[in-house]
Amino acid sequence: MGLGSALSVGRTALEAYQATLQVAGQNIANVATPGYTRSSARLAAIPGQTFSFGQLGNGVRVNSIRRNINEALQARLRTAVSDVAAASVERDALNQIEGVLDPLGDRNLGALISDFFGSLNDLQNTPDNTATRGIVVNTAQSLIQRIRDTRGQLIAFRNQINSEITTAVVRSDQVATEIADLNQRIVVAEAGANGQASALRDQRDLLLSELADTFEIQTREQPNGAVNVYIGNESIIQFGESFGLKAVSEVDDDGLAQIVVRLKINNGPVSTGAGRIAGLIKARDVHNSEQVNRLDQLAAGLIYEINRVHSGGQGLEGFSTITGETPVDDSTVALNDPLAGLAFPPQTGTFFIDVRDDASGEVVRTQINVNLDGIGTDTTLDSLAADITTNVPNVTATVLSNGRLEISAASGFSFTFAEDSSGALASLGINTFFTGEDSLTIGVNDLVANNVDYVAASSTPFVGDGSNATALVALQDQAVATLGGVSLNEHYATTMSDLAVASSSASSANDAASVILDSLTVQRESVSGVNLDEEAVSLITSQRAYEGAARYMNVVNEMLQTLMTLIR
Amino acid sequence: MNISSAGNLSRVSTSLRTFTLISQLQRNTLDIFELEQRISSGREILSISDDPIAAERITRMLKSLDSQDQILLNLRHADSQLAAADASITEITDLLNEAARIASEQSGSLQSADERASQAVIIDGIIDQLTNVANREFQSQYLFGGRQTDSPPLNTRLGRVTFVGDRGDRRTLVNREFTLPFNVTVDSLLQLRRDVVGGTSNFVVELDPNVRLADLNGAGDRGVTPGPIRVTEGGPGITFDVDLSAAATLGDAIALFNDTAATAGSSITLGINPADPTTLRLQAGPLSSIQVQDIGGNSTAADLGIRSSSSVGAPLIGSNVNRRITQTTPLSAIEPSGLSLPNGVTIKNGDLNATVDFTGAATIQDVLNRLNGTDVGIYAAINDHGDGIQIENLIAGTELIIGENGGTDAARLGIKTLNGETLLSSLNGGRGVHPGTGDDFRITDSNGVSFGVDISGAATIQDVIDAINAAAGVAGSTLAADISPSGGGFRLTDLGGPNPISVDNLGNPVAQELGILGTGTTTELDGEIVGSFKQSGIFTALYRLRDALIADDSSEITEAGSDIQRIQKDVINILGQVGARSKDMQDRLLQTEDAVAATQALLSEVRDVDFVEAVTRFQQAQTALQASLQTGATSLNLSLFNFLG
Repeated sequence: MGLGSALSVGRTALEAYQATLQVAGQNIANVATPGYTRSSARLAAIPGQTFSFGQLGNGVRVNSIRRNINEALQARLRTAVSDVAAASVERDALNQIEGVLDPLGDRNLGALISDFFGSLNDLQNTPDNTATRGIVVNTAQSLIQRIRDTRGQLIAFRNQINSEITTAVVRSDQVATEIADLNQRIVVAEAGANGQASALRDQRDLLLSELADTFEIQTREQPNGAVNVYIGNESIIQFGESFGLKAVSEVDDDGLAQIVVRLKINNGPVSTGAGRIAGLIKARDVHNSEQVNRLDQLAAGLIYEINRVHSGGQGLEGFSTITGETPVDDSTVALNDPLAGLAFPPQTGTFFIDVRDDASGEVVRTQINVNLDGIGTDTTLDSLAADITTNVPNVTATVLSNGRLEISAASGFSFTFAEDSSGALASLGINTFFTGEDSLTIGVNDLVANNVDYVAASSTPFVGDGSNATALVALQDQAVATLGGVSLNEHYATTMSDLAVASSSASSANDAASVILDSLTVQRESVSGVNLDEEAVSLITSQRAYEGAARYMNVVNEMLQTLMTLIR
Repeated sequence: MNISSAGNLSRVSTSLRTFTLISQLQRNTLDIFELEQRISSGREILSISDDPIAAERITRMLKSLDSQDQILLNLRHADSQLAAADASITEITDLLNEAARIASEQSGSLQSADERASQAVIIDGIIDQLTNVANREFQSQYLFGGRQTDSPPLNTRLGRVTFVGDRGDRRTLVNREFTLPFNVTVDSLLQLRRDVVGGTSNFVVELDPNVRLADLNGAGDRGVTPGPIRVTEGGPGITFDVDLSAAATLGDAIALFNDTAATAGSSITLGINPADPTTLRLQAGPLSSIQVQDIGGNSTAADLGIRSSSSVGAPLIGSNVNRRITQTTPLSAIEPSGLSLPNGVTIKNGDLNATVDFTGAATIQDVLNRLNGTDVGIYAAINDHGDGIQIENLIAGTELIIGENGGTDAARLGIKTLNGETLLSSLNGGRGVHPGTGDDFRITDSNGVSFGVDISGAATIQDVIDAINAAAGVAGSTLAADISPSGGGFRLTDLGGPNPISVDNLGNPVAQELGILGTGTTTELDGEIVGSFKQSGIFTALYRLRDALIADDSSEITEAGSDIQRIQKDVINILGQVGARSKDMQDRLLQTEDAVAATQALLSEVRDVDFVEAVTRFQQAQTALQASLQTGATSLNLSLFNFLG
C-alpha cells in the first residue's frame, strides 16, 4: 500500500475511461453505418492486495469490448433476407410478365383474338365481300404479330433473368472470396485477444447478408472466429477458403438457354433454396416458361383448330395446284407415326376432293380414306398421294423431295376439298389458313395472304355461303382437344386468371416475408443499433469518471507533494 | 413495417427510429402513388394481382362483351336483310292482289276478248315486276338469291321465267352456338319448287368397306353414332368391348372389331353379309353363340343393326343399315346387281328436248352431272332421305316430261314423269280423272276382243293399269297396259292381231282424260301425254292466267284465279314467317343490347374507380403522410446532445 499504488489506480481509471469514451465515440461515429453493431466496453475492477484490514483494489480495466449482437437473430435475419429476395424477385418477375401480357389493357392478346374472330364473324355475313376477307387476313396478321411480340418479350425477359443470374453469381463468388478473406483476418485479429474484431465481424456480417440475399445460406461459426458457409448441403466457405461459384450456360428441354449455378471446385450443382437466384430461377423456369408454354398452346390450338375447319372449306375459287405447307420427315411411315414428324398428327377419317371441269361446270367428288388405326396398312404420305392420283380423276398428287404433298389438277380442271374428318389436310398444311405449329412459327398461309379469295368461308361453291366461316367463328367458344378440352377463349381467360392468382400470391408472399424481415430487422436494430442518447449518457459517464480519476490523481499528487515537503 | 413488433422491444436505437420512419414514409408514399394511379386512370384494378377474382371477372366480361358485340352485329345484319325482304314481299303481295283482282274481274262472262287481251298485257307487266322484285339487290347482294348472291336468281328463257338461283339458307350466329337463317330464297317465296318429280326409286344400296358411317341412315333410320359395343361369345365364354368411336368408314369399324375380337381370343368376326350386302354378319366357331349389346347408353350396335344374339353355331345376321346414296355412291352398289343404265332417258321441257346418255357413268354424281348438263331447265339432286334422285322443273309454266330412251333407265332411276304411285288427281294439269258409274271406257284389242274397264276406286296410275289388265284377263284378251315410254301417259300393247287397238268412251271422258281415246296400231296404242311436271309456283299461275285471258277462256281464267289465290295465301304465310323471324331477331337484338348494358354496368362496377371513395382515401393518405413527416421530424430532432452544455 502506498501512494505509488494509488497513482497506479488512477492511471488505470484514466486509461479505462479513455477507452469507454472511445467506444462511445465509435458508436456515435457509426450511428448511420449500415450493419454496424454497437460495442460496449466491459469494465472490471483490478484485484488488489490483501491486508489485515481487508483488500485494496488496484483500479479498473477494460475487460473486453463486446459487440451487442444476437447471433441466432442474425441467422434468422439472413434467412429472412433470402426469403424476401426470392419473393420480391418472383413478384417483380410476375409484374413484368403482367406488363408483357397486359391482361387489363384494351389492346391485349385477348382483344386481338376477339378482333380476329370478329372479322370471321363479319365474313359469315358477307363472305362474298373481298374487303371483309382482307380484314380477316389483316386481323390474323395483327394477332400473329402480337403473339410473336409477346413471345419475343417473354424470351427477352428470360434472357434478362439469365443475365441477372450471371451477374448475381459473379458477385456472390466475389462475396464468398471476401468472406473467406475476412475469416482469416478475424482469426488473426482475435487470436489471444480478449475481445472481438468488431469492425471485421461487422464487415463479414454485411457480406453474409449480401450472400444471403442471393442464396439461402447456413453459417457455422468456429471457435477461432471463422464462419463456415453452406448453400444447401454444399460447403461454400471453409475457414479461409471459398470453393467458388460460377454461372454456366446450358440448354433446357425446350432448346432455350438457361444459366445454372455450379461450384467452381467440382462443377457440382448448387441447390439455391431461397434468395434472389432461387427467385430468378423460379421466375424463369416456372412463371416465364409457363407463359411461353401457354402461348405456344394457344397458338397451336389456334393454328390447328382453325386449319382443321378451314381446310375442309372452300374459297371463292378452286385450286389448279396446291402444295402442303407442312413437310413430312418420312413419307413411308404412317402419318400419325412420330417419325412422320407432324406437329398435329391426323386420325382415321375421310375427306372429299371435288374436281370441277371448268368448261362444263361438272363436279366429280371422290372420297379419300385416311386409315390410321394401326390395324392392317396405315396411310402414309406416299400411299395418300398414290390414292389421290389413282382415284381422283384429272388430279395428280406428288410427294416432293422436301416431304411436302403437292396436288395438281389437269389443265381445264380445278379442285376443292370438303368434310375432312381425318384432319389430314390441316396436318399437311393443305388449304390451311395458318402455318406453323407454335407461337414462334405461327404465320398466315401465303396462299390466303396473297389471294384472299382462298379464305375458305364456304362449304359449297356459292359465294354467299358463309357456313364455314360460321364454323370458324364458333371455334372461339368450342372445347377443343388441342387445348385439353377447353376453348380458345377459355384457355386465354384461364391463363390470365392463373397469372393473376400467381402474381397475387407472389405479392402476398413478398409482403409476408417483408413483414418477417422488418420484424427481425427491428429486433436486430433494437439489440445492435446505436442509440445516441445512450451514447451521450455513456459519454457523460465516461467523462465524469475520467474527471474523477484525474481529480483523484491530483489528490494523490498533492499528497505526494506534501510528503516531499516533509523531506525538505 | 410491423409496428406490433415494437411491443417486444426493450430498447429503441436511433437507427431503428430512422428505419421505422423510412418504412412509414415509404408506405405513405406508396399509398398516395397507388391512389393517384387509380384516380388518373379511372380504374379500380391497376394490376391483376391487386384482386385476382375481380381481374378474372373483368377478363371474362370483356370477352363476353366482345362476343355480344359480334352477336349484335349479326342480329343487326340479319334484321336489315329481313326488313329488306319484308318490304319486297309486301310489293309481291300487292302485285298478286292486282293479278287476283284481274282474274276475278275477268272470270265472268261479261268481258270482251279485247278487254281480256288488254288485261293479259297487264299480267305480263306484273310478271316483269315480280321478276324485278325477286332479282332485287340489297347491299350489293341479290336479296333472294340464296347463297348465290352474285347473280340474279331468276332469268327468262324461251319467254318464261326460269329459276337459276340457290335454294340454301344464309345463316348467322345468334348466340355462341346457334345459327338462324336471315334470308328468304326466291324459290320458297314464289313457290317455284313445291313439287319435284322422281325420288321414288327407294334405292337399296349395298355396303362396302369404303362407305362412311355418316352415310348410313342406320337400322333405326337415325344414323349411326360410333361408340362402344359389348360382344359375348357363348361357349368359350368370352366377353369383350369394342370401341368404334374412332371409325370413320365401315371398313374401319370392321377392322377395329376383328382386331379387338382376336386380341380378346374370340373367334367372332364381323363382315358384310355376302348373302345380303345391305347387312352385316357376325360369325363364330361351330360351338359358339354370339350376343351383341350396346353399353354406356350408346346405340351403336342397334344403329349397325347387330344388337341381337344368335344360337350356337349360327351367324348373327344384322338388319339393313340403309346406306344412303351420295354423290360418290357407285352405281354398281345399287341393288339389284348394280344400276345399269344402257339406254338413257329422254327429257322434254316445253320446247326444250334432250336425250341423256349415261354411258360411262359410274357414280350417282355422274348421273346427276349428265342430267344437269342437259341444259333443258331442270335440276337433278339426291332427295332428302338419300334414297332416290329428284328432278325439279326450273322453268315456269312449261311441261316437263321424262321418259325412256328405248329402255327402262328412267324407271330404274325413279325419274319417269309418271310412275305407279302417281295420283290420278295430278293428271291433266291437276284436274285429274273423273270416272262415272260402271264401265268408264271400252277397249277393243287387235283380235277384236272388246271389254269395258271400270276405274272407279282407282287412285293411282298403277290402279288404272291393274284395272285394264284385269278386265283384259277376264275378257280373254292378250292386251296389256303400262306406262308409256314417253313417261307422260299410258300405253296399251297387244300381240298384233288383225285389228288396230282402239278405245272408246262410255258416257264419260275418262278415256280422254287418260289420254288413250282413239285408235292405235295392231300392236300398240301409245296414249297422249296426260301427266307432266309443271312448276306450281306463282309464275306458272300468272302464265296460265295470261294465256287464258288471251284465249278468252273463262273457266281457265277462273282456275288460274284459284291458283293465284292459293299462292297469295302461301306468300302471305311467308310474309308472316319473315315478320316472325324479323320480330325474333329484333327481340334477340333488344335482349342482347340489354345484356351488353348489364355487362357494361357490371364491368364498370368492378373495373372503374369510385372517385368519391378514392379522393377521400387520397386525402386520408395525404394526412397520414403529413403526420408521418411531422412526427418523424420531431422525433428525430430530439437528442440529449441538444441539452448538453
